[in-house]
Amino acid sequence: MSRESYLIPRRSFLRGVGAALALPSLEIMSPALGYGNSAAAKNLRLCVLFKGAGVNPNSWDITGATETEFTLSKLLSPLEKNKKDIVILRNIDADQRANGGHENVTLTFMTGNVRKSRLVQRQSFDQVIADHVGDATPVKSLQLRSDTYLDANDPSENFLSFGADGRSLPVEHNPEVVFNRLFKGFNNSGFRKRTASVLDEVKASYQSIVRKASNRDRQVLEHYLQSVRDVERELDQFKTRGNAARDSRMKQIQPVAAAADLAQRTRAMLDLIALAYWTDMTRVSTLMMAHTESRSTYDFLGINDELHMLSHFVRTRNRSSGLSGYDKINHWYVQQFSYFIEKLKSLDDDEGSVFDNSVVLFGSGIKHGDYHSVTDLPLVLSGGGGGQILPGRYVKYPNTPNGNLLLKLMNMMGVKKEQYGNSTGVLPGISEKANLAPKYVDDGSWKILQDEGGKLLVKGMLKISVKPDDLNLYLVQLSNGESLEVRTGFGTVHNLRIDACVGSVVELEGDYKVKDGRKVITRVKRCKRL
Amino acid sequence: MKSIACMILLLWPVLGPGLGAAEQPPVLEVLESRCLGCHDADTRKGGVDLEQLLSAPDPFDEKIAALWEKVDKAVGEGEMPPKKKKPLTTAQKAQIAGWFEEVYVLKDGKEHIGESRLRRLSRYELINTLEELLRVSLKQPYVYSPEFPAFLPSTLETILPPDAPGESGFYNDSAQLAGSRPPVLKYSEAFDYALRIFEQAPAAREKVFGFKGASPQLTEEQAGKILRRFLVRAWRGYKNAESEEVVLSAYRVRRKKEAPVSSLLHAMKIGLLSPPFVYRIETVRNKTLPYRVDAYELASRLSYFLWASMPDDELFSLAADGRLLDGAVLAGQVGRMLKSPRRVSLSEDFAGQWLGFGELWTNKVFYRNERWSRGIYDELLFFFDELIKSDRSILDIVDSDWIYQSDYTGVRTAGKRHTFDAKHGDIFASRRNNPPGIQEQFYKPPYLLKIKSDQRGGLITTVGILRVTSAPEKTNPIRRGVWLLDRIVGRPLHAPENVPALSKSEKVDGKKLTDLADILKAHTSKAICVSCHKHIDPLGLGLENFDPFGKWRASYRNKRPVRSSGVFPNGDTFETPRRMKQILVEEYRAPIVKNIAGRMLAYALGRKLEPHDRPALRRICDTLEQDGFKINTLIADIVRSKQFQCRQDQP
Repeated sequence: MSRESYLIPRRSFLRGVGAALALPSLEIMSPALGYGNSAAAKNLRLCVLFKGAGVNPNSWDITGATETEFTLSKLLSPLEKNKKDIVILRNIDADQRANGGHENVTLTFMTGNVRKSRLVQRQSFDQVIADHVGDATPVKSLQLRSDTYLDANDPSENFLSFGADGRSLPVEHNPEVVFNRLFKGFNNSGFRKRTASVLDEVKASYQSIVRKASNRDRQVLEHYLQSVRDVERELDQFKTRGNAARDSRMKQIQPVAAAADLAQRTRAMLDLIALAYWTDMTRVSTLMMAHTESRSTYDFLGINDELHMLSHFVRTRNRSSGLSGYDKINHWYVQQFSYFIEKLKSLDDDEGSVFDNSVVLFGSGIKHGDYHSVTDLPLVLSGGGGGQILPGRYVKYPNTPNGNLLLKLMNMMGVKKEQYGNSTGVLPGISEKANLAPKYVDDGSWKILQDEGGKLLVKGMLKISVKPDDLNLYLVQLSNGESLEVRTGFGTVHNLRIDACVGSVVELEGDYKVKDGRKVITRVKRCKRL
Repeated sequence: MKSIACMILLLWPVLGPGLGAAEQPPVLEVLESRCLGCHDADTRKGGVDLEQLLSAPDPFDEKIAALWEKVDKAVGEGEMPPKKKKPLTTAQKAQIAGWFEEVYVLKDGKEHIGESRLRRLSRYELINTLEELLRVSLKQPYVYSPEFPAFLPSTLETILPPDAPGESGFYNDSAQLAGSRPPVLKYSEAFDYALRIFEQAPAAREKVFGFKGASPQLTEEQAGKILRRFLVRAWRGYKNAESEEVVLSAYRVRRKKEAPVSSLLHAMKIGLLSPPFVYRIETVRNKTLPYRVDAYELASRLSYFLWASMPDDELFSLAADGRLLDGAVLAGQVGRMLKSPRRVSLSEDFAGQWLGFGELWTNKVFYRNERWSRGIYDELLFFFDELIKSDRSILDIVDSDWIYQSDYTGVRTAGKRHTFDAKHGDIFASRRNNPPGIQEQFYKPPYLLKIKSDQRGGLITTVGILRVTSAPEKTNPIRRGVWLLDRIVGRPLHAPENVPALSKSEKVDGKKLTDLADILKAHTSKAICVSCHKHIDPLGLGLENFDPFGKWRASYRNKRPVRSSGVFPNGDTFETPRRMKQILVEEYRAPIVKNIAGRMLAYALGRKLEPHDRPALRRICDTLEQDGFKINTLIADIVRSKQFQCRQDQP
C-alpha cells in the first residue's frame, strides 16, 4: 500500500478536456431570458480564488513600477506569461477592525464587513451576484474548497459564501462529487423526474410538520425547505437550460484519476470551475484554496510544516522550512492561479474565450502573514470581464476600502448597487487606465523634524526591509536619499500597526540609539499615516 | 466617560424594583471605581473595554453578555485585578458575582436551562441512525487488511459533506447545524445509497418488512402497517398523521406502476427526507421554565448521547408505555447502554473531538503507515472505552497505572498484560467483517497493560496525543502546553498576536540562547508574555521527553539533554512527566474535573454551556468528587440533570 493511495478511492473520475480542445467551438446559446444588462448578455462569470494566511510582503510587493511598466516580484513571477492577463491591485484595504486577528479576515474579504454574529453574516458579494445572474444557469453558484482544514474556534472562517439569509452555504470538498453534480446526476432526465416527484412529496410532508412546529423550530425548518427549493430550482434549470451545444460539450468531458492530495485536489477544482464555465453550468464560484488558519502541510513541495505556522514567519523563521517554505507555498498558489488563467483561455466561449468573459479575483484577506495587517491586501484581478477589465497593469491606488473593489466587481457582473460593505464608491481604474499620480511626492519635506535627547520625530516614506532574514527592520526614507532604520519589538509593530503604514508617508516618533554612526530608532512611540 | 445617570435609566429594567433612578447600581460603582482605570474605552488594556457595559441598553446582547462573563470569570478566579493592584473587597466581589448570578444565571430568581434548540443530526449521527434503522452496515469495516485501508472514507462519508465544528467544540452543535443549510440533495443521494444496500440485504429486509424472500402480494393494509412501524422508528416517536399519510400515499401512487418492494422503498425515502428524520423534533408546550420531555424524546436524547444514534427496540418499547420516565428504569437503561458496543461513539465521536485525536484519522499530516496509524488511534479509543467499560476515574485521563498498548507504535512499555476484556463486548464487533483468523494476521488490536513505568500512564502521554500536538517533524512545547491547558485543564487560550518573537540568534542578558527551555524562559521573562506562558510552559515542557512520534528521548538529536522540568505558577516544581501529571491531578483537580464534566455535558446537550448551566455543572462535579470521579457517575449525572431531561421555550 503506498502512502499516497490511502485517500484515493480506487475509482476514477475526471480527465480534463485536453482532447476536447482540438474540436471546433460549439456555440452555447445565450439564455433565452432577456437581461437588461451587459453582464448577462455576455454570460460573464465570476470566480473568487481565496488563498488565506497572507504573504511575506517582501516577496510579494512590486517596487519601482508604473501602471504599465512593472517587473513581477518573486511571488508573482509565475504570472510572467500572464502579465497581459492581469491587473495587480495595491493599497486595497479591508476594514481596520479586522486588523491583527484571524476571525474577521475571511469575512472582510468576502463581505467587506466584519462579523455580524457567530452564525449569521452579511451576504457575501459573490452571492449578491449569484442572486442576480444565477437563474440563467442550472447551478446557481459553486462553493468549493481544496484545503480541507476546518477551524473549530470560529466557524465563520471556514466559509467564503453566505446567502441572503446570512447563513453559510454548503461547500463541496470532493472533486468527484462536484463532477457528478455538474456532469452526471441531473443531466439525466429520468433522474430529474424521479427527484422532482420525491421533493413534491417531501414538501407535502414538510407542510404539515411545520404547521405544528414552534416558532423557533419553524425558523430552523425553513432552512430545510429553502434547501429543498434550491434543489428544485436546480432541477428546473437543468431541464429548461438544457441544449444541444451544452450536451455536446458535456460528452467531451471524461472521467479519470481522482485527487489524492491538496495539489491534485486544487487542480481538479480549478479544472471543474473551468469546465462548469465552459458548459455554462454556473457563472459564480468561490474556491477556498487555503484556509486562513490552515494546518495543512505541503509535502508535495517538500514542506512538512503547517501553513499557518509558517505564515507567522517572523516568529517561526528558524523552523526547518521557515520563510522559504512559506514563500514556496505562496509561489505555488500563484502558479495555480496562472494555470487557471491558461485553462480559461484555452476554452472557447460563444464570443472569444471563457477567459474573455470571466472576472477572476485571486487574493488573501490579510497582507502580512505574521502581523495580519489588512491594508494593501495581496490582490490580483484577471479575466477579460467581457471587455470591462483593461489588463496588463499594476495599479497603485491611494488607500481604498476593498468594498469599492467588490462593488466594482458586482457592477461589472450586472448588479446595480451603490454601496456594499465598507465601500465609499466604485473602484476606478479597472475598466480604464487609472492614470493615478503617485500619492506621495517627495517634496523635500521628508526629514527629521525634531531631534533631542535621544528622541526624534521624523517624516518620510515608511518601507519594509527588503532583507529576507531581517524581518523586523523597517525604514523611513528621507528626501536626502538616506533611510532611517527602525528596529522595534514585535509587540510594538503590532500594537501601533506599523506594518499597516508601509508604503505611506508617516510621521514617526521614537527613541533612537546611534549604531556605527547611524541613528537607529529602537523604540517607536507613535506612527501616523499622513 | 459617559454620564452614569443615563446608564442607570437604561439598566433600570434589569436591575429590578426598589432602585431609584438617581441611585448608582452598586455593581457599576465597583466597575467604575476599580476596573475602568485600565479598561475604559480609551485605555482598553488587554483589548478589554468595560466602559461599554455601563451604557449597554440590553444586557442580553451577545457581546455584552460575553463581556460580563469575562468580568465574572476574571474576578471569580482572582485573575483581576492584577496582583500589583489593590484586591477587591469581599463585598465588591460579591456585588459582581451577585449581579452576574441574578441577570445571567437565574431567571426571575430561579434556575433554568435556556431555550431548547431544534437539533439536526450530524453526519456521524445520521450514518449511525441509518445503520440502526435499516439494520445494515454502512461504515468502513474496522479492520486492517490490504484490501481495506483504514483511512478510506465510507461511501456515505463521501456523499455527505463533513460538518463544521460548532461553538461547543463538537460536530453535533445545534447552533452550528441550524446555522448552515441542510444538504437536502446529499441526503437524497445518501438515502438512495442506504436503501439500495438495504434492498440487497435479505436479513435486514425481513426484519423491517416482516416477510422473507421475493415480495409477496401485499395488501394495502399490510403495506401501511409496515410503513407505520417504520415511521415510528425513523421519526423516533414523532407523530404527525398528515405527514404519515403523505408517506402512505407515496406508496399507493408508486404501487400503481411498480412492485410492492420498490414502492415501499420509495415511501421509506420520503419518510427519511421528511424533517422528523433529519431533525429531532420535540413537542413544544410553550413554557418558559424547564419541563420534562416525553418518553420518546427522552429515549432519543439518551441514545444520541450514549450511542450517537437512534434508540434501539428496547428503548422504543420503554418509551411506548412511558416506563422510561421512571428514574430507576432510566438509570437501568444507562447501565445497559454503556455495556453495549454502540457506546463506541463516546470514544469515537465525543473523545475523538474533545481530545482532537479524531484528527489522526482525517489529517494526512499524522499518517505514517497503516498499522502505525491505526495502532496509535486504537490505543486512544480503547483507553477511553476502558474508562467506561470498567467505570474508572476520569482523572485516569491525566495519569493512570494502566494503558492500552499497540504493537505497532514503536513504543513498548513494560507491564503486566491483561487479555482483552470481553466482558462488555468488543466495541467493534459489529464492524469486524473479516473472519477472525484473517484479521489477526494483519492487525492485532491494542491490549490492556498494568504498568509501573515513570514514562507513560494517562491519555496525555499516549503516542497519538503526543503526535497530534506536535508539528509534523518537531515537538512543539507551546502547542502541547496550550493543548493541555485547553483540552484538559479547560482554560482555552487564543494565540496572541502581539508577542515579540525570540530566536536562538538573539541574546538575553548578554547570554546567547541555546536550548528550547532557555528560549521559552527568556520569552516568558517579558511581562506581556508571562500572563499566559506561566500556565502554558510548564505543561508543554513537561512533555519534552517525548519526541513528535511519542517515543521517549533523553536527549535531542544534537545530543543536548532534554529537560522535562519546570515550575507551576504556584511554585511546585517537577523533573519528570510523571511528576508533572501528578501535580496536575493534585493541584488542578477541580478545573480538570469541571472541564471534563462540562465538555461531556456540552456534547450531551449539543450546545455550548451557558451561565445558566453553572448550578447543574457544580452539582455534577460535587457528586463526582464524592464518588471517586468515576466516569459512569458523570454520565448518569448528566442524564439526571434538568438540562438533559427538560425543555424550555421562549415566550
